[in-house]
Amino acid sequence: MRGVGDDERGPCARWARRLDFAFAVALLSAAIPGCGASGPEPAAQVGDLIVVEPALVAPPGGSAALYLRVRNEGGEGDRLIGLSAPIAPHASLHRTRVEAGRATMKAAPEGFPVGPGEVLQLTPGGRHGMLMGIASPPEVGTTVAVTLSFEKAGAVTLQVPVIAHAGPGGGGHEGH
Amino acid sequence: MAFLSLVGLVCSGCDLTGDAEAAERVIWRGRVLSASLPRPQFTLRDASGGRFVFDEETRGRPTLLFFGYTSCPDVCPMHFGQIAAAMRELEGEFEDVRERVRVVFVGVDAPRDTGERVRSWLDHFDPSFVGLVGSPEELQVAQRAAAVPQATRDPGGSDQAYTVSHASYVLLYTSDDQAHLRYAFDTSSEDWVHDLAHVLRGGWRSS
Repeated sequence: MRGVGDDERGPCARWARRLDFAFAVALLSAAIPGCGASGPEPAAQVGDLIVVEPALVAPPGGSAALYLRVRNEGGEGDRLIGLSAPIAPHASLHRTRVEAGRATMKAAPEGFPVGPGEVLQLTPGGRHGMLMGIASPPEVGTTVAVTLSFEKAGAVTLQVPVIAHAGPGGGGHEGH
Repeated sequence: MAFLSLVGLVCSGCDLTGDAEAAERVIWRGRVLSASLPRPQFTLRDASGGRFVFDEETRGRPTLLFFGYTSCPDVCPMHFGQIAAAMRELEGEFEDVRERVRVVFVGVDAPRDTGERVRSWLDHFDPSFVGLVGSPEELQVAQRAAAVPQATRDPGGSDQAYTVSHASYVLLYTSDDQAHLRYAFDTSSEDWVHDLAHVLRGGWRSS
């Protein structure tokens, strides 16, 4: 099987590989920003950091994963150090790791760096934001406010679209 | 006919049924296990509280078995979203795919994975999927029987918000009551459609 997790390949290769996931296709829509001439609309900007294509996967349980990318267009490194959302009493940065056939979620209180000119990617099966203890799950098609905190650039609040799993509640993608 | 006999001779080591398709090589998308695993014997409860004897209920049928938890935000929904999409697609060729293939989710997080909660989690993907729950001891027995790594609660968090480490892959048992294949969590619906269609047409074969 293909490997998963953080690897050292470039973001384009990584996205291209993940694209054979219908799931990721749903997340990414058509464009692969950073790999082509034009990127998607920024969802938010704080300083030189551009947040693109945020998505919250509609949680069937009380936990939801947040995926997005942050492009650092400045000349200085920064770091995503936290997140919060009014819908969830607990929010944190996590990383999924698979070792010896076990999937483990590791909290990443140190956050995730994003160097100058780099793209930080929160993706399925890798780094992600996690909202836990959600009492009333948001509807697919709505948006949820999420605040991201960066070490240097500060905080920014954005509206994150709630997307479906490829399940019947999800308006099924069927798409390849 | 001479040609066919020649093929028979050349392929005398293969399981040739005479059907051209059966002779076609299958390159499985799942990872082929170095040693197959027998369909495990364990008993848990289904969502309505009834006893579910796994090997009896699923014997002879292609069966997907996964040990996860309903508060799992990343790996479990990824697996089940892809499997559900594959089932919908397979319906085109195999109308009765939901009767023929059983998809079983075991909720390993005993304090939070109640029957009701597992049911509503699975209904989000496909109401035909089977959800099982049990006591911590019963769950341990089931995971041992299936030869998967034991799930454990991760350190940290609170009693309402914690994560669980658990087997990352789905096992596929075929009609010979063995699991020859397992599927990592980057398996796409397309991979599932490919492998399940082969299993439904011809069962397991090594390649």
